[in-house]
Amino acid sequence: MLRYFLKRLLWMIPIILAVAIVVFTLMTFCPGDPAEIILGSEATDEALEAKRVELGLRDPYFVRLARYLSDTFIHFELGTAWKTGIPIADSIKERLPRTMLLSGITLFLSFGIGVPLGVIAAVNQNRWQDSLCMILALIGVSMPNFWLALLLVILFAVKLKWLPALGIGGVKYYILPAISSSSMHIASSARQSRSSMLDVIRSDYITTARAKGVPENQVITKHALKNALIPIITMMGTQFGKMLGGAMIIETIFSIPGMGTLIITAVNNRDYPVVQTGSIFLAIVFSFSMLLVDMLYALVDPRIKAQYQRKGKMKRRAK
Amino acid sequence: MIMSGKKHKGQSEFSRFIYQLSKNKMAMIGLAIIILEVFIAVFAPAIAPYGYQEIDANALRQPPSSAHWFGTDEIGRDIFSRVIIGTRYSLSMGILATLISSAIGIVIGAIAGFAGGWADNVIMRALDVIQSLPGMLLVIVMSAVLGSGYFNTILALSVGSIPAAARMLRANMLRQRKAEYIEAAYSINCSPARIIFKHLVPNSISANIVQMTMGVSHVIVQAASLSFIGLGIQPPTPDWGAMLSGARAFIRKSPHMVIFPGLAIAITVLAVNMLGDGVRDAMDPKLKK
Amino acid sequence: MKKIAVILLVTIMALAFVSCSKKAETSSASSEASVQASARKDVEINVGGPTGWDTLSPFRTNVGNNIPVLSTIVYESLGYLDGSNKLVSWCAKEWKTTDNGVSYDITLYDYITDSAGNKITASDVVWFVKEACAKALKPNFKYVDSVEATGEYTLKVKFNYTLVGVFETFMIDTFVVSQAAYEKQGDDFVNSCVTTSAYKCTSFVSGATARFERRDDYWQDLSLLPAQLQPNVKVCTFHTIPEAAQLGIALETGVVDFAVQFQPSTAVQFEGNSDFTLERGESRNGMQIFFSGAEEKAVANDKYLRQAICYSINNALMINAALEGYGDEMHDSASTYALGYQDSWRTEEYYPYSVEKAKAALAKSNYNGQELVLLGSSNTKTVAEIIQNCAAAVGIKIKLNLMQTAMVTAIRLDGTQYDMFINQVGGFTLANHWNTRYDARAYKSGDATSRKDMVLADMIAEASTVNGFTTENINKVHNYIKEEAYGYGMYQPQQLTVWSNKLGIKTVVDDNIKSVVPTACVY
Repeated sequence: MLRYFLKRLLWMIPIILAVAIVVFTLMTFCPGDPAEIILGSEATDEALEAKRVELGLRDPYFVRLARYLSDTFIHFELGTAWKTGIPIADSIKERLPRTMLLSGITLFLSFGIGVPLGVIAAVNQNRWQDSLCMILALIGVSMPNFWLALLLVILFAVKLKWLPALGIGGVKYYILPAISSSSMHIASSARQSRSSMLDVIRSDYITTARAKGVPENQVITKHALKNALIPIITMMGTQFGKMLGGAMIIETIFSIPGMGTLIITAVNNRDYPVVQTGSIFLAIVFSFSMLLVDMLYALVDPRIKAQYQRKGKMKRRAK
Repeated sequence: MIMSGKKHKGQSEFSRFIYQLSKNKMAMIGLAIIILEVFIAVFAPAIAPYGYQEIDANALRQPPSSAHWFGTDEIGRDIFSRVIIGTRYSLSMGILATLISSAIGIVIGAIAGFAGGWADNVIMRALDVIQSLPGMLLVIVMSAVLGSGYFNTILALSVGSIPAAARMLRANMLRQRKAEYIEAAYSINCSPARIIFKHLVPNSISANIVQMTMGVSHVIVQAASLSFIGLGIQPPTPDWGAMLSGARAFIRKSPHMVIFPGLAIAITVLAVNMLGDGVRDAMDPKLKK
Repeated sequence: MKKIAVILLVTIMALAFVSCSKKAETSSASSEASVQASARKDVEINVGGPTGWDTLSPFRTNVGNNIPVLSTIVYESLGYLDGSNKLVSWCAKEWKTTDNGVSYDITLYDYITDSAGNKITASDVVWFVKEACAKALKPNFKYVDSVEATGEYTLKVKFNYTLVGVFETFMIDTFVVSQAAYEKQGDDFVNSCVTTSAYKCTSFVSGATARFERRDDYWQDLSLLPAQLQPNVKVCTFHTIPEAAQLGIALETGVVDFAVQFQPSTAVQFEGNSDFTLERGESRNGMQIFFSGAEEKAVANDKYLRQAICYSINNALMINAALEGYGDEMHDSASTYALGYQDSWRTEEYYPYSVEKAKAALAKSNYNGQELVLLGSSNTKTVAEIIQNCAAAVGIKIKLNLMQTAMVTAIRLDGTQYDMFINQVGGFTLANHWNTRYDARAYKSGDATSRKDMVLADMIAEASTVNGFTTENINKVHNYIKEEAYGYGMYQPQQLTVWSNKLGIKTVVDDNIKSVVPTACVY
């Protein structure tokens, strides 16, 4: 297992490099002129051209790519944003923790509320608990998240005054944003958990466990849930990845300057360095979380663990 | 499927599946709603009382009334008509994009999950790279390179969900690969393709079905943001996602502008989920009664 | 069972509907803490606005240079446009020109110091201007030919074009910053700055908040400052709140006392609410439509087609739909704020909404039913849809091409890519406005829509200089553009500000667009 872990860590290097190169290349295909976006509509042609030369846009692709890769990975100079002049390292240092905190709380809610809902629904399939849990889950995915966000703000910040409506500060500023963005994920978690539990709950070994007289809640948690976890963990990983890069609507509504706003605004402004470097950081965090997901698979299911430990393709046995 | 239940003599897998599905009341209701929506989409212009562009300059942002059942939007157009006509685009884009992304994802995930080892690693790492890219960036470039148009829009919408679908299928494949029935299949000389598509995929797919059903609403809402990069539906053609995001500024004073497109999306999602649950249950060998 | 889901959903949404549509309530327990009893010296206020400054750098583009509070209390400029739009002294004591505006001799106050104690001399100002010219972020600096210190507190600046308003804009754009302090800190003042302002920035979170506190060692004698620059509050915190509904909520709950540049969709909730005051100021920008001048386009050579479109536009509907009524009709493609705007225009007929006149003009044109392309950005969707609808009502087919800003900037100067283009432009003077939009010599392909009308270009060149900026020349250009309908001003938004009456403002101090200056009011 340790070998597998180390191998995966090593794999992260080409991944990060690949992300850097792919994002760089994609940005060069994006229509839109960064110089004009920076200087505005009243700039003269000479000023625009001078800006383009300054930004290095007039150099050939490979020269720019080489320069970017060496600056970022060899000298660790992350540069400054073209549009605002803010050093990118500073922006990321400030924003990434906020996004990770928000994503963390959201994931916690998604797992902590969604999975139990799904399990209860599965165990009581086709009874009222099933329907109730599924209704609650579906509300989450059907209600637009900005709508839910504003409803929560009106209830908790305006009427009850328990939580702040917007801004950043302590953990309490992240509660309403996390609840708003988790509603959709809770729905996914609940439904996946339900489906996954249903897959497992009618297996022979569950029947055997019950026949042996194992108490029902142990049957559910120790036997069924453990085996149902694979799709649930997969989904958690994907959700976390999505949350990292794209909570722009929630960040805008709650005035939280996070990674979502940074990158999406930078894409819209054709601010190449910010998009490139921001993507690299997100790729690092995302790769780690995928690695964690794959390690959790092994933890939960010994059959998968065995596959990691065996080298090569699955061999054909029969002839 | 190998562990199937009672089978009438000569009955195919597919007709058994249909039979199982038809017995599920909820799934049938979901199907009925979807068929109703398709019907509305096809006959939309005849059903809608007003044109989707018709402006009543004296009735801006009116709440629901007898003249305008869902009220009017910020430039005086009838929301009911726009929701009806929007069914065409939102429904088709939502369902098609989700189906395509899932289909592609399932194939990729199947290959990765089955092959294991080196191929699995490369494919999964490639997916890691794609998932790390800012979604908007990918879509802008696709639009710039491929151009606009209906099919390109659907492609752009589906690209974002392919990695998640692939991962889900691969994860389940990893579990199923070692099952005894697969060993049995090998021992009777089944070809790999047959093993993958007749045995492994159907048993691994239930999670993907759930993922698909949840994806529809996300796709409908995302379609709205595509119009500003040249893809998708250009205004004034109505589409639920655009109506929803356009109403955001008016949410406190005129919430009806958000409620009705939101409800349209919600009902569609509900129907797709009910049908999806039914499909999942019908494909599940352990649920044979 | 799942039917219940739908019913429950509807019920929940209906309940939400009811709770949402209550008018803005007074929260009686709102943050009294943020508004203290006003002894003149100790007032603390919170100001919220949809956009703020991302960095505190003194070298900036024009974006964000008109945000209330930030535009006056972060940096001080050489001069300031007071309430009657006249240039008055700020850090520059006096200035004179002996060659009709080609060059100016500027004298600074000789006792200017910044918050770190650095003394400001002419060399600091010269350094700033040279840096600003090199960075070319603010377009006005392109007109500076040379600048040099002529004494410890005097400098001479020479312009390469005596465009109307160039000097005034120069005086406002030039911030007074100590070169030593800037170079010592070395980080372009991104997160913290050392300035000569009466306020020191004590905390800055990019994109979120900026807190300013008045300092005791301000260099200037307050009686020498105009009313708008009086530092009448002790602490002012600016909050960036991009979401319109949230800005309203922040105002309701007392998180902010002022909402500036308030979006009309939310500001309207505070209309008639006795706990708040809603102020309508004049906007510097208007919302205009410009017609392509590229040869192959139908609109380029067909005056009557352009006029038909102008007549067909229902301005009142636009103002109601896009601005909730907080807007005015225009009488020129420039906004009323532009220097040189003639009062006589306000009573002229300027393509009022008239379906008959539109159809009459259309009949005279060569329009043969083809589809015209309207280019706009994603935030002009409402306006674009109304134009499309209005044009269809008289028989003109328009296709919308709404794109995100970056993609619009990529093609907006290329008139071959569209027939019409919606934009929001202003201009400190009419000359700025004309030069940017209608001057065929401005860009390689012609004017801003690829038109090459040299007659107009010559008229503009003549009228744009300080000497040529006469009523007669101005009217000549105005009438020509109006007759040709190269560009049409659809509506001018009002700049909305709402503040809480709990502040107890005794005297409201407005700036040159009749918009309140929160830090300068008398509490």
